[in-house]
Amino acid sequence: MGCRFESYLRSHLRKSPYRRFFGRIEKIMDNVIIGKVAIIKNEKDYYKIKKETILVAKNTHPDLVIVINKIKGIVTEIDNKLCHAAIVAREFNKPLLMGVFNATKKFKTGEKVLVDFGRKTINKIA
Amino acid sequence: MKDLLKHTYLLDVEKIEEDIERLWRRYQEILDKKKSSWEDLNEARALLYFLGYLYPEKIALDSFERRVKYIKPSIVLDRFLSAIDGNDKRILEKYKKNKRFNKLKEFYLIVKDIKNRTKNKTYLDEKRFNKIYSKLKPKQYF
Repeated sequence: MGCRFESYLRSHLRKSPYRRFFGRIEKIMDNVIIGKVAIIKNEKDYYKIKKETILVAKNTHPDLVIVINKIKGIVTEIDNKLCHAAIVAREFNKPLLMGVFNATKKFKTGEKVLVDFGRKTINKIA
Repeated sequence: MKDLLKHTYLLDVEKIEEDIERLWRRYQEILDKKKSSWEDLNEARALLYFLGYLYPEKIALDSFERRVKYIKPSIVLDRFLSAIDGNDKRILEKYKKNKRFNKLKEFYLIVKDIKNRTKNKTYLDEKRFNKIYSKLKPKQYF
């Protein structure tokens, strides 16, 4: 989620009369990220990533680790606990959503999306 | 490949490592040849598919899923993998003296090593393989 908005929401919720729901809301917030998509079709696409993005790829490539600090989350078409993306995501503690059918075709680089890792969904934000 | 499968069933970690390295060396040997035949290249293709996909993502994963259930205190596979990859000290400390956990961890690190092995900037030297393969691919390929 957007950093400033997130910290505002968290601090506001802690003080609000709804603070008893804070735990549940925070849990939902922890599973959600919003950001711009970077579609990866080949290894050169990694070098085009300049700002923090949500990486969408069929599978990942070794060059992913070069830009890992700019990756907010990873979305892949393939779904396997031992695929490269899964290993890298665990190593660098990045949220990962696997098994999104045709993800590289459904989205375009620069589009804003909301990824819910809890519900395992990715949706465009208008 | 048959030996590797047998040693995986036995969970003989040392032999698994040896078998994988032998297959990797054979794969490299084919790619290094100045004049590889079409048949050689298809052997390399089989090795690449086996080492890069079939073994780690199917055979080894099945083995992890089956064996992780025998670890006590119980741990789910996702937590097991995250603990090792993310170097989760709390979990690693908890299972520090657990033989089953440590053996499965050792196996996982071997599988991960081959799965993530890079050469010439690609996983499992795939770029070089693709280049040679497309060069030798017959025009009447079917």
